Amino acid sequence: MNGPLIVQSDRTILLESAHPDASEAAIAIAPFAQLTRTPEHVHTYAITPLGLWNARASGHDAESVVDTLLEFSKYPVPHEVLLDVVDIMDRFGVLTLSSSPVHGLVLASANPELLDDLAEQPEMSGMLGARIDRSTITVHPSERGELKHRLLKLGHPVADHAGYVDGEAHQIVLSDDTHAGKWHLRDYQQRAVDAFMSGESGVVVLPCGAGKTVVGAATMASVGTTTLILVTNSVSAQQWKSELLRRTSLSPEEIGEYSGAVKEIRPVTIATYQVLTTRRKGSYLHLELLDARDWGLVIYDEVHLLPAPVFRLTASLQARRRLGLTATLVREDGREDEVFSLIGPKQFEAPWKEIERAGYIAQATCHEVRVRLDSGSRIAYARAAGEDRYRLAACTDAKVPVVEELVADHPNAQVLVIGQYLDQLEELGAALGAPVLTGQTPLSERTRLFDAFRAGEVRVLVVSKVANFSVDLPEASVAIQVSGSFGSRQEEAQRLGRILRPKAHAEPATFYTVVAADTVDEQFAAHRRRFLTEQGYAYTIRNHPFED
Amino acid sequence: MPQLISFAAWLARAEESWFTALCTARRDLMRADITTLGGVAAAAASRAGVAAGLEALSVPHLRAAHRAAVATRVDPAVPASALGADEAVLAELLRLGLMWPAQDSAVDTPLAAPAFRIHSEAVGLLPTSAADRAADIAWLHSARPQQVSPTRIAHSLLENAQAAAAGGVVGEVLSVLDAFDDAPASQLTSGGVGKRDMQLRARATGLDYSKAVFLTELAGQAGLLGVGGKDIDPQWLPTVAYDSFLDLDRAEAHSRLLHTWLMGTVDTTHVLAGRTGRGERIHSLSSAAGGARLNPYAGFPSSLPQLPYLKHLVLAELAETAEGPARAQAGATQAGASTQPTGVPGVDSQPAGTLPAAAEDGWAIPDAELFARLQWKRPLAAALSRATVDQLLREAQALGLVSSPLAHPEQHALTAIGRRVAADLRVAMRAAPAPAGYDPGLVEVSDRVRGLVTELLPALQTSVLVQSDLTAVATGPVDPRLHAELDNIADVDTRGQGTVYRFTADSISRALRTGMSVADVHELIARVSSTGVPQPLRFLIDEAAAKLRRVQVAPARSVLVVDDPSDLEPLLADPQLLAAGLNRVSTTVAVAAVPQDRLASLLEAAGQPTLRHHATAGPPPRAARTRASAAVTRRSLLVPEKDLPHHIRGLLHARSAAASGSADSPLGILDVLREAAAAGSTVAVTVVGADGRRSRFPLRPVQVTTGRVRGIREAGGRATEVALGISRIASAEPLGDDR
Repeated sequence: MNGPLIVQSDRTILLESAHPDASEAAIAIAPFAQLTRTPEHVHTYAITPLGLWNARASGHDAESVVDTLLEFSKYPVPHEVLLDVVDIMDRFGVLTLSSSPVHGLVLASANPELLDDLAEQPEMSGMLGARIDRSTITVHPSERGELKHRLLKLGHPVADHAGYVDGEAHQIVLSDDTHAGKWHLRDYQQRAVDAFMSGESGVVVLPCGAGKTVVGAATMASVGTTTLILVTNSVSAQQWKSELLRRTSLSPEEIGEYSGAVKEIRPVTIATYQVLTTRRKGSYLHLELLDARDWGLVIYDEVHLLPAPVFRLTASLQARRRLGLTATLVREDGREDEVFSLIGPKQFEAPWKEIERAGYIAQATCHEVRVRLDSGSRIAYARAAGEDRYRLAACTDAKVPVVEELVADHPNAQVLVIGQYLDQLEELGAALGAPVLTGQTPLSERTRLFDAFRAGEVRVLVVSKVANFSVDLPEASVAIQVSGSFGSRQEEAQRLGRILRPKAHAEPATFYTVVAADTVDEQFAAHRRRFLTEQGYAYTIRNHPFED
Repeated sequence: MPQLISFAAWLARAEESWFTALCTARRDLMRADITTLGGVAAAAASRAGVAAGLEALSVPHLRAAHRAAVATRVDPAVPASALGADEAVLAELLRLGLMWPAQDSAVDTPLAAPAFRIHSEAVGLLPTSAADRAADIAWLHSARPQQVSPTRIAHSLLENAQAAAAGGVVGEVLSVLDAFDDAPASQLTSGGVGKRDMQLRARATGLDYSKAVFLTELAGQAGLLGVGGKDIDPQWLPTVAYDSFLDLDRAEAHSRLLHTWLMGTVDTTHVLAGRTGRGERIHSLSSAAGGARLNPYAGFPSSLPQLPYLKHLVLAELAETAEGPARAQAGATQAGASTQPTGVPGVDSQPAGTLPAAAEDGWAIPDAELFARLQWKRPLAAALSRATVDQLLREAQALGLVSSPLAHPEQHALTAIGRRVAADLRVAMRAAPAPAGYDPGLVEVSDRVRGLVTELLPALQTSVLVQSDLTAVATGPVDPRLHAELDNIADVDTRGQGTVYRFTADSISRALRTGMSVADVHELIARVSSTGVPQPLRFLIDEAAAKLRRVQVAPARSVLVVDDPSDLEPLLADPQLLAAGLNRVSTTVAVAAVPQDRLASLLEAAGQPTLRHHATAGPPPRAARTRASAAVTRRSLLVPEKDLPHHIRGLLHARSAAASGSADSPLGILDVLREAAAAGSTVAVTVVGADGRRSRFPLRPVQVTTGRVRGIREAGGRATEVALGISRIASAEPLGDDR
């Protein structure tokens, strides 16, 4: 035994990244262990029930997992971990959902006593139908998703073999170099598509800038059906549309937009989460969209942001293939299990640093700059309470000269200044002489500003959280974060993602976060940066004024 | 009606081989203070002697003894046909001195005797009344357990499990001790640690509650945790033994824990439930606190400490399970005659030490099967319950003695370490004085076990990998001294085979507060890091130190504050206040070196003392007291093994000289009274009254049990039932057959 893995009794795995067998071991454990941290020397993975069930769903059995752990382990593996692995994995498949030509959707189990128990559970009421025999019970088709979710909560994952509807066929061809185009799918993108197609539903995890949209387009081409794409906002919707036009054979007439302003339903329809969750008098106004066509594929962009109502609506879409795209499965609301049961298991993940080493995303350095509040602000801060404290600290005037200094340090770079509070952004915009783009900015103005920024006509752009997601600004190489959504780790990752698009001259990207020292701003910043440090991004931390 | 013979008479007249067999089987009767045959007979017939014999019985033997005890309530001569026992069972009961032929005529052919007798004490010890028998007594009705084919466990899996456990348990015990060191738990007035305190420590160590309780008990029994602190609030703290434990070779440390476990008398299931089987409250560490009520010998068979005995039984049974398939593999020639059962339950005639100790597959049996077998072989083992056996298996697994097949966690088999421990115990227990084959004094962990463990344990890590995410990782079992240093400046994130330490502003500040300087922290990390010190960590340390410096607490016994700076100058210059040791810290504040009362008296008219500060320093406190009493060691008059042949020869020689005990020795008195009770005859007893006066009168004993004799006293034509304490009876002599 002298492998690169150290298996801990708390079900975490430490991987020595410098070990000669580290890459092989990482590939071997990837199907069942969730990568949680990738700092420079020792990476950490977690063995979770969801991860093990993910592996089981994709064809790995307990024996192979145990063998992998024993093969690559540096020390003996705690026996209780191995017992847990076998026990947890054996639970998957005890319950199966399948389609019966006679009874429709049925839940079956080789363990009739388990079915007896479940049928008695109050959580199951209204979902299960008539008992066919001791080991089979009918399921109301509309409850397929909710049933899976509730059973998962009870510790009994369901193997869903009920299959998917093919949906309305619609030919989509990629315009890559195999089809006379000038680009090609990257290796990891192809692997992501293959993994999805073998599992038919699930989530693909790729870093910002690694081409998740392309993976979506390639998947659409593989499935070849009408597709509903759910995105975070209308800017993102437009970017999806332009990307699909660029990457596929789809024409503008084949792509519809379903948002607050436009309600087009076409073979490929892009809708925002917001419109889908719009309610009046307690009922959702746009539910008909889900049944407007016989969708063969539903794509969820930024699945970590999927609002709770969309989860509930998604429960009724279980008969359709579902692809979730995200940079991180970390959800601030802890609904990872709903992603598993309602969208599907994680089908593919590529670590950020791996993509960076391959040159597909820019190298980035991260810096935290701390400023001290002046005496007056400190007194006001001490007297404030709750959210006001964070706001006072995050919006301190002391940050303005620091941001000016940082912008001046990068005279030739395209700089994004990102913040949470509009008055702070306005103040910074005025100080920097830069345009400010927020949620209140009209769509046409937003588009104009983004275009001007891409063209280099605008060097510094001050943006609110509307630019957190799905905005392609490949020329941005410096981001300065001045405030955020408290301790949101995924927001920090998304903001870094704004500058990770590979640069024309391979310049590295620089990410600054300016925080008020000795305040909750500093504490939130420490929490926010955890995701990226665990992904291998090293932060330097400096006090302002700088000594050097 | 034929004349009944007493047990002493049977011993005197039986063939020498029977007497020798008894002496060999009943080592508990071979005592330096018993040198006559009568003494041996009386000791065997005593309540303790009978109990010791009964506790060695398996279900078939016990049922035969029970039938005899029930029948003897009516007639002391129990027909052989009423026993429902075959010759082997009878032979065993005779060999253990529990039964003997009822008539003189059968002395030469005891196994063919038409009737047998059993000691009267068995009537009281066994459930012989109708009410007793109506209770749910498992061994009265249980069926012989079905033989289940054991499940094979691959050698590699067993080796992995034992190695992980052997290394892990030492680290986990150290983690528990760390938790008590970091946050000492107050001692309950009843002696132990409260449940909430234990839950907090379980959370701090990342262990599940039941395992934390087990490890805490283990640490307590090993003397690593004790009571210290202030008398007004005694706390559980690591003892000075903990500091030396840190320096032990890890195999030695494992050996220490293993020995402690084998000797441990606390049933963890009781601690987890908060109550003993008899309903007494029990907490974690109650035993280590010297809880007087926690009698390790409590239970029916009072001659053995229950938990250690049960652990021995579990290991022995699992060893026997492993032997079957191993023998089958080894071939019939090796299996031959030497492996035939001796007829003594649970004691196999396989030569000790012949078990292979390593490099072979394991054979697991279901826990339910193990429990059923133990119930069949040792039905009177008082601690034997399914929950306790399950818990012992979990504990044995934590120590690396047993493991289970991955698909069958409810089955267990011995690992190589477990097999070696079981084999060593079996060898040692051949010299056990009790007929049940167990003596806690003979338990030890051999060098061979230590050797096995040594081979399994990886080298200790003396450096860590320090990373930019403010963690340091020891990629292996960490040297305890290094761990202690790092634990001082970082929080433990995860622990196990490797340890992840996380540096935080709080952890650095904590280190600085306990007296380390910034330079010390930098030096420590640079010294133990094999990867340098990343900038964020250097920043964190400096920033934490700067924050600490920003607001400082000065050591002062009192503080002097004035509103007007001009008031302070005269006070500082006043020679009468020199004794106060005033020292200006700002324009309006000075600190004094005397308490505020003293300063006030010195100042007389001026001065406003407001704050008092305490400097914190010094080494962590250590417990002064460990366990209050030894749990299982007892003084013994037993004849040593080497002197046994000589002792038996002496008894044989004395056998012809006296057929019964002296009528005025306590054991002799009991023998006379029991025989009279069995025969319905009258004896003359001399009783010493409370005032010291002696009186002699005839008594027809009816029942002799639990230190008292109940009988009929006839005087003046009236028959009166009396009950006398045996201790009051100075002598007892038969008056002849008056039936």
